[in-house]
Amino acid sequence: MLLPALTLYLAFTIYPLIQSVRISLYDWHGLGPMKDFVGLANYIEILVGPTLSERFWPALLHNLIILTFGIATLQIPALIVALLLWQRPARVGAVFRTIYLLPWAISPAVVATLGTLMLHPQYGAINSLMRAVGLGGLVRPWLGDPTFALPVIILLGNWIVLGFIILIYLASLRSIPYEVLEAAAIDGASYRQTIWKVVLPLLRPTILTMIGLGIISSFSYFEMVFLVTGIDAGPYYSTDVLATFFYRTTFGGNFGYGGSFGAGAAVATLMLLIVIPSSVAVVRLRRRYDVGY
Amino acid sequence: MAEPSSGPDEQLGREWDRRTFLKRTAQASVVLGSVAGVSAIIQACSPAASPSAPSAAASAAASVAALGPVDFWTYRQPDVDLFDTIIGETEGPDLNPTIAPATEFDAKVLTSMQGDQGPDLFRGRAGLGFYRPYADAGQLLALNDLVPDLQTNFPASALDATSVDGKIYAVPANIDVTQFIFNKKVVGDMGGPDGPATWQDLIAFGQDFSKSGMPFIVLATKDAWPLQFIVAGIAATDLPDSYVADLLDGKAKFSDPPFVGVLQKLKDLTALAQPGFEAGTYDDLMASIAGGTAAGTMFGAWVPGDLRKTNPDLELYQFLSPPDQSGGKRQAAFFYDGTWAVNAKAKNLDGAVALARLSATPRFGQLMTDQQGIIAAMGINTNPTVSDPSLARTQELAQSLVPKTWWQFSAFDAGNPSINSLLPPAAQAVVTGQLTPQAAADHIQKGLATWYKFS
Repeated sequence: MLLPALTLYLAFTIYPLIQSVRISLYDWHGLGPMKDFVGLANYIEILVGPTLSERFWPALLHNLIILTFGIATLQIPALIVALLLWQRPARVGAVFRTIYLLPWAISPAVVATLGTLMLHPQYGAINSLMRAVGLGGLVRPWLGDPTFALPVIILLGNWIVLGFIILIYLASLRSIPYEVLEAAAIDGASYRQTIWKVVLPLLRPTILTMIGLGIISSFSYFEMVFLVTGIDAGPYYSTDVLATFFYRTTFGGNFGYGGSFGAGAAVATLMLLIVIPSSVAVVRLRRRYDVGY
Repeated sequence: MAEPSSGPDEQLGREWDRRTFLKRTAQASVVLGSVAGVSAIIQACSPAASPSAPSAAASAAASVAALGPVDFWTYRQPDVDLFDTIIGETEGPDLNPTIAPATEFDAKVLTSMQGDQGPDLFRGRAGLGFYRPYADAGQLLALNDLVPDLQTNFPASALDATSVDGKIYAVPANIDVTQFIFNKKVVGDMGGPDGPATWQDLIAFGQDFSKSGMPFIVLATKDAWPLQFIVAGIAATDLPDSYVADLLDGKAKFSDPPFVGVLQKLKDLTALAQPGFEAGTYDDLMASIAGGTAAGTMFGAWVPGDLRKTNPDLELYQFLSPPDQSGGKRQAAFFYDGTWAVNAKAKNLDGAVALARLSATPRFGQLMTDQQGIIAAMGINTNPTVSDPSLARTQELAQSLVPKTWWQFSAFDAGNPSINSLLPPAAQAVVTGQLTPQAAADHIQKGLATWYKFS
């Protein structure tokens, strides 16, 4: 019974994983046979070498920023909105759910293009609006500003998935048995106490699952950066993340020069080494706090 | 609060669903993380087969119409139009074109070639750095004997740009010449057909012009890659030929004062640039110059043609970067740009070779000039008729090419990290103020010194 699934798992997960690790031990540019075995040289170059390490550590930091900023600007607002929608009449909730979920149906490429236009320094809607309401002193070239470019890209990405996260939390809230809430009310719990002492603890498995998914998506973050600031992840790598670093390392820069599949595979392996333990830790935590009704 | 809406059975089912969903999602997360991290590597596992001999191609019949469609990949629609025209004129094989975004084109070609799923004919780049890996892997067809026009129609420097160890792996397409390009109606005369006499005059003119409220220079900083054209254009005039020769010999460094001075001039231009230039894009640049809302920029040889396609009434003022001293030498930065390369494992090898032959004919060079407003690499030998005044001016400026080139597709692009991967971000950092010109030059030098031999 398990054999077909196991075969697929071996073919599409374990085999590529082993191959990736194998490639990372070679100096290979992606064409022809792998001949130059270099051991751990690619890893050393990425972690402490003179050029690749200069990009690896800042990219890793940016992924961590995406993770923490993502939790602050995505998970928490999504949970709040879900709590607000949870108590609304079904018809009203459905309308808002649809509104929030709409961006989920829009291609990230479209969102990136629209976002870039809206953020245009001269005639973008954001700066125009700010000028119109007297905040002209705060306008800036958002995507050309090393301080703001990454947060702006994160917010653009969040806009797409916010509705989906809300939906997950809402589904989880809807599964809380009424008896539990009624018991809290009978015991004299206030609304705030019910949320803090009853609802949120019951939501903990869902929250941990979403954080687990957040860790994975944060460390595989690629398309919005690629679509908005390109493969160089400018300005001067200020939006660079591990996935764009991986792409550049593997395939070279804008004109396909200087790519190394060996070093790229080493980056991919390091990404796995970061993601898997964190994901496993979150899964274990989730199990520890699992609840049954 | 939520209303009770279910009986025990339904609730049990819902409990199972919820718990199972969360559990499965958590497990799937780990698996998906693994797959996502390595999926890009999967194709790298395909073993490369040895190339087959192009015996049939060598004896391609005069009529190639029956050869079947040729899979042709490029990142430019005008390339497809160009081949369609020459095919229409010669009854060549049908074209099955694929146009991929420029930013991912090279990666797409590379991964498809290593999986033996590549195109028959594709737009390649120039330089040893591009061709060496393909040549070592036997992935490209050597064209020396198959395309006889190569030796007669193209200058040796163009063939050098597509050769490895004497084997020519692609037909050079066009030569790019970097120049200042201004909207003449907007800026008027800046000191004669060759522009301002000195760099200081250019800056002074720009400062005066900027008082009108219109940007004097448009910088496409967000995209990074256009900035290297400005660096190369200034460097062509400013860097002494001996310094460039020493750079290529490893006796001089990018961190030396001459190159730092070039980056400083790039920085100086930001004072004359459009508001929010830090997020300016290539599209902004083209639209503002063609639309007359900005004066000009420095860019490559295809830009005048593209600007005039956008605005046919546009009168352009093109000149090379002015020297520091009046009367000093002005030079043009250049590189051989695209090429037409044949996949050694092409499914339609005969058709691809037939098209490669067509692309090496003077007629093809003339069509390229007429349709795309660029100078064919063979143009130096075949002298196509140029009717467009801006292109004729580019051809005139091309008489002052630097003797040796250090930037795109030069010897500094043959290793990792290449000048192509180091220069655009470094120039971007200078323009946005993240690095000083000296720090940016040090960054480039440090990167190149990891593989290029400097004394």
